[in-house]
Amino acid sequence: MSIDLLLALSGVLAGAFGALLGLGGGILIVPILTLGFDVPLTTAVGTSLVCVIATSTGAAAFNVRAGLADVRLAITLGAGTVVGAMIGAVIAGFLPERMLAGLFSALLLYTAYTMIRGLRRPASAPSNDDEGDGPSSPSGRGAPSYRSHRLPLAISGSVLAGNVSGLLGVGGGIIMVPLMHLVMGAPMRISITTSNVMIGITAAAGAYAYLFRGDIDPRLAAPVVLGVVVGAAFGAAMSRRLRTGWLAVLFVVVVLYVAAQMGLRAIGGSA
Amino acid sequence: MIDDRLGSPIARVLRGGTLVAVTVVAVGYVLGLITGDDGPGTTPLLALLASGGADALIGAGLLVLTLVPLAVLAVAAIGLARSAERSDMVASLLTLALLVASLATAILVSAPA
Repeated sequence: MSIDLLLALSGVLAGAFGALLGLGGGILIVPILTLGFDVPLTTAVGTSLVCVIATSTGAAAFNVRAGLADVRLAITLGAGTVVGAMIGAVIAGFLPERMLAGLFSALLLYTAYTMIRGLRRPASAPSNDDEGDGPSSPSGRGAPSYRSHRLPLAISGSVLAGNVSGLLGVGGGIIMVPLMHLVMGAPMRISITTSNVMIGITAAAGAYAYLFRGDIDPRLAAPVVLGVVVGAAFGAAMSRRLRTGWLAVLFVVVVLYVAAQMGLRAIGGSA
Repeated sequence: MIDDRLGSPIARVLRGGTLVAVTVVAVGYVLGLITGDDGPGTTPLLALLASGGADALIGAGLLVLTLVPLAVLAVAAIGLARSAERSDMVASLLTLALLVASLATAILVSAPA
C-alpha cells in the first residue's frame, strides 16, 4: 500500500508539473519509475505514455472549457507531431542515439538562450504576451488575442518534435511550447495550454503499441494514472494564477535540465 | 482563433472520457486491493481483457483513456466540417487516420495467431 501511495504521489507531482508547463510529465515519470521503483525502461516508457495522455486530457478538459487552448492550432500541429512520431519510431533503430541526444541537447540550449533573451526584453517592446482581459479576447474569458505566424515553419518543426519524441522517448511539449511561443508568436500561456491538447494526441500514437504488446503493468499504472489526473487538474488550475513570466522561467529551468540530461547521454553518461 | 463552438464539444469529450476512464481504472484498482493478489504483471491487453476481474477493468480504463484523443479528433472533424473549414478539417482527419492506423497495427501485431 505504501508503494502504491508513493506511486500515486509521484503521479500527482508529474501531472501537476506537466499540466503547468505543457510537457505531459514524462520527463519525471520515466526516471521516477526506473530509478525510484526499479521498473524496466520499456514498462516505464509505456506507463509514461499513458500518463502523458492522462495529463493531456485532465489539463485540456479544464483549459479547453475555459477557452484558453487554441484547439485548431493543436489539431494542425498535432498532425505534424503524429507523422513525426511515426517516422521516428521507424528510423529509431537506424540512427545512433548518442548523436541524436547531442543534437537535441544543442537545440534545447539554443531554445533556453532564446527564451532567456525574450525574458529580458524591455516591457515597452511589442509582444504577444499582452494578456489583458480586454475586449479583444476572443472567448471573453480572459484568453489573450493573438495572430499566429509562420505556420509552414511551425508544421515542419512539429514533425521534428514528433520525430525527436519518437526517437528519444521524451514529450513533444519540450519543443512545441518554445516553437509556438518563439516562432509562431503565441503567448506563453496559450503555448502551454495548446501543447497540453497536442501531447495527448502525439502520445496516443505510441501508447497503443505498448498497451497491446503488454509492456504496461496494470497494478503499477493504475495508481500513477489516478495521481496524474488529480495533479493535472491541480496544475491546470494553478497555471491560470501564475504570472506568465514565472511560467517562462520555470520552463527555461526544465529545458536546461533536460538539455543537461541529453548532453550526458550524448557523451556516454548514464542519464 | 479560440472558438467556443469547437471548444465546447471537445471539452465535453475530454471531461467525459477522462471521467469514465478514471472511474473504471479506480474501480479495478480498488477491487485489486480487496482481492489482495499481486496482479498478472505486464500482460498484452487482449489477454488482460479476456482474463476478467480487477486487472481487466484497469486495462479497459487505460484503453478508454488512450481512445480519448481519437474521440477528440473525430468531434473536431465533425465541427470543422459543419463550419466548412476545409484545411483544419483535413488536418484533423489526417491525424485521426494516422491514430486509427496506429491502433489497428497494435491490435493486429498483438493478436494471437
